[in-house]
Amino acid sequence: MKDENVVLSDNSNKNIPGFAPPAHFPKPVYDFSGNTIDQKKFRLGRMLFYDPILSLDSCISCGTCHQQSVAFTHLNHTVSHGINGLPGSRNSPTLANLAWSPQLMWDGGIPNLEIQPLAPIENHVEMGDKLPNVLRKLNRHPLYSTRFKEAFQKDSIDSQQMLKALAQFMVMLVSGNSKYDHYLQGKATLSNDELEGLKIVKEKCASCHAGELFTDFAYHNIGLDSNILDISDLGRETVTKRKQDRRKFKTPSLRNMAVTKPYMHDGRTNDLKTCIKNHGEFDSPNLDSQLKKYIGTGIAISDEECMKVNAFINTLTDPTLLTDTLFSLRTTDFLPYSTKPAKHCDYVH
Amino acid sequence: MKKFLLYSWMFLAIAACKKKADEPNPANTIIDPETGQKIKIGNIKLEFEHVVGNAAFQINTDFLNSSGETFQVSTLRYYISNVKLKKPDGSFTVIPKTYHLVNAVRNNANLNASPIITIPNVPEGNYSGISFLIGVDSVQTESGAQTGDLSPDLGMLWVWEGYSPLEFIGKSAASKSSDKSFSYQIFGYKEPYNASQIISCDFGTSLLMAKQNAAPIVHFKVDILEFFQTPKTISIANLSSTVTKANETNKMLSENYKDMFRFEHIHN
Ligand code: HEC
Ligand code: HEC
Repeated sequence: MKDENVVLSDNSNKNIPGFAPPAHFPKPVYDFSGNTIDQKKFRLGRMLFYDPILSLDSCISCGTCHQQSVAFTHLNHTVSHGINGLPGSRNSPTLANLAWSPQLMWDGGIPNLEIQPLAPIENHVEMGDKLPNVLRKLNRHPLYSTRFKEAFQKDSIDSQQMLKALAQFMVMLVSGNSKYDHYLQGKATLSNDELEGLKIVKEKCASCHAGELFTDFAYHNIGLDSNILDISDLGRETVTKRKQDRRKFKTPSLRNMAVTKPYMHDGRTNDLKTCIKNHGEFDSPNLDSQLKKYIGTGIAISDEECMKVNAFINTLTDPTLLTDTLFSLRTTDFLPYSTKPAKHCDYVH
Repeated sequence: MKKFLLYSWMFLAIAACKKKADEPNPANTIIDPETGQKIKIGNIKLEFEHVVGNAAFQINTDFLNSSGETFQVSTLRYYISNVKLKKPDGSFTVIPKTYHLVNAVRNNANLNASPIITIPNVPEGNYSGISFLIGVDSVQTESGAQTGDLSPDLGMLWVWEGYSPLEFIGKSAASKSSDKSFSYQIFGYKEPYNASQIISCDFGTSLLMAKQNAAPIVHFKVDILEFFQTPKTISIANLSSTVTKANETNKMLSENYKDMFRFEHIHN
């Protein structure tokens, strides 16, 4: 993929920036050549993302479980609750920097971002609908039928258009404007604690929370549980069908971590300190070899070091991602229709 | 060189997709990636005549499987892709990829007519055999939102497990399910439980003659009874449905449907 492909042709348009991540980011893996960033498609993606029309009872949108102010995770939810308040089994992950993610979900079970939305739409504890029904609803909706025609020049809306539009919105959720990024760009300085935190992260964490995206996009068992055979969520084994992958989960990025509690694939803890120290607590045949030395104690990190790591993690919070209205629900997108949830949706929180 | 060839063909496949999939290439020629010369191309057709043993297939009609169970079929769909043609010298020509969802139960007007699919971009020449994939390869499966026969609206894609190579649904009094249905939507597109199967056939003494402005037909018989037999005997009573998950059962059933496909003859 050539870089030219990923820069919006019309960069002068301030409403939609070109796909121009910071220079210190690696090359994205998302194939933009099949879905060139376009203002109309992006806007459609944003509408779909925030529109409960994608759920069976018209109460749940993607934005219900992926909230901008907390880096597109689900505020205060250990595991996400979807349609009729039914709980899922995993914690809602951030949607930042998806353009770099080779596989989706905690276990990497979905190989391409474009088809990912089919999972929540058709999941009975998330949005609970069926694709043909969703397409019927969109085609019947005057706003969508007009907007899709404008963006895709096709007579009717099919799933490919819907999925490409959603993907456009999601790949644009780049998080690379934190204090740490400014530091790398020579535009900001870090305090001593923050710098020491950075050093500890590079020493003790960067083998997994690697590079400028702070993840290796690989799967590790970090020894969170005393008995990995007892637990129904098999993690990466679900995908590879190999026992040696049981209870391995994708390394989450450390970016915006300060705002995305609760932590871990099942949201087991709210406390960043516990969560760091938990790494390597319990042995198992699948425990990552780098963590073997910490068995019984958890990762070797003093309270003081932990405080510094915390200080550094705070520099990874990106106000642009959390507040830029480009990524927000816009009532104007939907005019003349209202975005107020129906009465029967009171169960959603 | 082999690899280069393959990629060039893939590029052609993409270029070809931009047009309506089944339309003949108006230029009727493509550039041979190896020699840089123009080669003429035509279409070929694959016809799938569905049978149940010796009987012609009809939907919602009673048939008997090898376990002595009476069954009726309401749905039989499968993907055909990755066509390669064998030249008399034994080498294979890789045809630019197309994906066809073959539906044994075609439409209301003509429920039982044999489906015929068109494979475009076949270089002119004589061929002595064919191979194709039942299913969708992993590269295509993982390449993003699709349309046409690969559209997820068709109910053949399950995000976690890729495209179902084959779906076979019906009714049987032997079924253990409360509504007396059997339902086998097979899943698995990669190892260790890859349920897509390569079918290879030799045309014997016949030759397939691909030409510009012609569309010879390769006629296959697809014997539904074979789903229930060889290598394993499947009884509906013991196995009334499958799960949407690549596993040993799905893989085993794929070994069974592999020999449903039998080359019959060619109409040049
Ligand atoms: C009911 C809550 C809920 C809803 C609604 C929901 N999600 Fe999610 N989302 C989750 C959870 C939980 C996960 C993690 C699932 C897993 O790992 O199995 C997730 C994972 C994802 C991921 C993968 C992120 C990664 O880095 O691996 C993407 C992308 C995503 N969701 C997008 C969407 C889109 C688009 C929609 C709307 C069509 C949506 N979600 C609706 C809860 C939800
Ligand atoms: C062996 C690889 C590895 C190492 C080394 C590692 N981590 Fe992790 N970390 C992971 C994985 C994998 C997870 C997700 C585990 C899960 O949810 O089951 C994770 C989760 C986390 C989380 C929770 C994130 C969230 O969104 O839920 C934090 C915070 C974290 N790690 C910080 C650190 C810090 C700080 C260090 C260094 C002191 C470190 N990790 C070292 C692999 C690693």
